[in-house]
Amino acid sequence: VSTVYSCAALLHVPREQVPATLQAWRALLRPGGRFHLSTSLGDGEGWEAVPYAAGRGPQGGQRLERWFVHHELDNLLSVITGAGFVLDRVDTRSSHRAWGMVSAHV
Amino acid sequence: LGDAVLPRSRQRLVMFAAVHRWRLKPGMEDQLVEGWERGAHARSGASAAATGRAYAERSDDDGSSPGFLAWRTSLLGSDGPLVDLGCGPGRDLAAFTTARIQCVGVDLSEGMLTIAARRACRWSGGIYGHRQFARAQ
Repeated sequence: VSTVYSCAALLHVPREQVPATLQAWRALLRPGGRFHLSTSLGDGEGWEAVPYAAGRGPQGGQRLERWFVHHELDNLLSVITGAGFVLDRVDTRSSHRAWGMVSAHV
Repeated sequence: LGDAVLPRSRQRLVMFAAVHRWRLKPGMEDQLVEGWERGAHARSGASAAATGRAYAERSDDDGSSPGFLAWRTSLLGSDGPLVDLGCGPGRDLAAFTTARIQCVGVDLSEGMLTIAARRACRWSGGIYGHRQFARAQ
């Protein structure tokens, strides 16, 4: 694999599993392969309602929730480099969440 | 998936064991998929305005903001094979495959992969062989 891309997926991985997850992702890549990650920034983790189910009426059944894990940027970068990646570029952006976009290589 | 650079004929089924389970409350995968499908209808003007707004909010957040699009556009020159881990309904696979990058979409939700595969046919003008979808385990 030359490129691993993951957008808004790592934020559903339980925090204690993040280092092993990133190591597994790194193992997919050929030498020189590139990794591009976008995940949410912040602290804490927990169940959050997903906004696109907000239109559900009272008869709409359970509120749709997913587990979100947010990362402090410095900690995230440490975990990424700890998994064996070399950082190339780090950007941030904001919507209703803050996001970190990290590019790295093996 | 460490062997994802399989012979192309074998890439249709790629097992991927290293992505950990997303935490989704029991029984909610169907709702999640339904949410996307309703949103897709809303986007095309075929469904309730409330759903459309909800989807638009989500879509703006995750897929339509200039910051995100600039970032993703900067990746369109990536080398393939590209693996999209947690591809969901395949929004970003559409961009990458349009840029002629060979892609493998991986997700833990079979429902999401079903949507992604169906959309893939539309996005590529019916050329489906340009991408493969894998069911993550």
